[in-house]
Amino acid sequence: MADALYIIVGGVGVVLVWGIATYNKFISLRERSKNAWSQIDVQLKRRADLIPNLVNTVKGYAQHEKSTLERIAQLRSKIVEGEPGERMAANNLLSRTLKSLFAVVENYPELKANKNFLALQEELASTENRVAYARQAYNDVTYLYNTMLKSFPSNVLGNLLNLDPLPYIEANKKEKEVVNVEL
Amino acid sequence: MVKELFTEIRENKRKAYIILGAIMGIFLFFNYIVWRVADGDIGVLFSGITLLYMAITYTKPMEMATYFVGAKKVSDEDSLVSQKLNNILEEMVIAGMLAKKPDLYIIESGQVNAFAISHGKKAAIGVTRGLVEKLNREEIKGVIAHEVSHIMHGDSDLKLTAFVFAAGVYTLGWLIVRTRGGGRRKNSGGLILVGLAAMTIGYLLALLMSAFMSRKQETAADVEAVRLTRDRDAFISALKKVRDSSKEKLDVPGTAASLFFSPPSIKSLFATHPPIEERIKLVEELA
Repeated sequence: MADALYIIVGGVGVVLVWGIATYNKFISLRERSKNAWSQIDVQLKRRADLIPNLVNTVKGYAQHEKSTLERIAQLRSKIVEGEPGERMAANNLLSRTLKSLFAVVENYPELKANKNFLALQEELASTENRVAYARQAYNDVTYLYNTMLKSFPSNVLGNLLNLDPLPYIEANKKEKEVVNVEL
Repeated sequence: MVKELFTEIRENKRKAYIILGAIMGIFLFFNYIVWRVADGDIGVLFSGITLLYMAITYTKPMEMATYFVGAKKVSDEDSLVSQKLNNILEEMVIAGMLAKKPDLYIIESGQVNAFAISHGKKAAIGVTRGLVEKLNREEIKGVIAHEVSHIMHGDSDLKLTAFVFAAGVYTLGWLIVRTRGGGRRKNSGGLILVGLAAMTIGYLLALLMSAFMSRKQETAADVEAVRLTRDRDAFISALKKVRDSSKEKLDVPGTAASLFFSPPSIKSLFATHPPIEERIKLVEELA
């Protein structure tokens, strides 16, 4: 009798310890995904903050690019005020527009030599990378979380706690729809 | 394969702690010997130095290590370099989800190299001037990602402790040799022997320790660098540039070899990192 009791108590203990460890793993992964998500937000905002500066710097040198600059300003306000999905799309579009702007800058040697402009260009390039890396980090953690939710035995606990899988951020879906916006 | 790698690394870390304990034991042992061989006042002096060293090591290991390898904080004066490096580091901090951005250091050397150290919540990454000048943005990112990965996995913490302690035993020996070399007191010959022994043992222990933990950690950090940057080709070309610049002078203590992306002193018997050709091959085979 006593033996059976020990076995039962021991078994319950093992399950309990496993349950707590697994639960903590779920929580920590979800927290990390939240962090990565908010990092994307931080970087989008940073990018939006850099744009007016860029527009002002370029304006003085390259009068012929007025329409491009206006477009950039428009996209910026979409990033600041838009819906989440819209913001991502605007962000991707902004990347393209900036790329074409930096390409035409080749025609303005004075602007190209401007230290302020060079610094801004580096900041913007880095911010774009940061958005991409934050997205990558988010998707990596989301992958771990979702895999844990699907695989045995952690899925048992996941179902008990009603945990939902996290959505992935698909990088270029929206972007593809608007690809043919030429400037 | 990666999972096995990490199990092995954990195993190696345990061995490293044992060696670390041994290094501390050796510290005490040499103090004891000095007490026995020399006059009382010299014994007191050396124990005082040892205690002081340990106290500094305990509170300021990062400052100590950067001093030993001759690294200076990247200043804002160095504007474009500092901006670019800081940006690249920030990108990798985001990719690796580090809680805090490490400090940036630079070493004035033409060799392409880098190091990472961390202590508790503080961390630092250093690069050489050669790295900034010879590598493009993507290649620099690969090397920084490798160092960030060391910090992520806590490799650099243990390495730093090992380095400062091994350097301590070495320095203690050096001090004994220097101060008693011209001494006319009795037993000065014995003391010099003790000093030389301390120097040798400190040096060997640092290398042995590195050999235990380094190789697998380096491989893991290489794999992780490619995962973080998602840019294998840039990392391979960075490795090749590191290889091609290895003849350039980089003056750091031999005990510090294991801290670096590629060990600066080639003369060591105990290779701390897999040879660079092997690393290139392994990264090329990554999917």
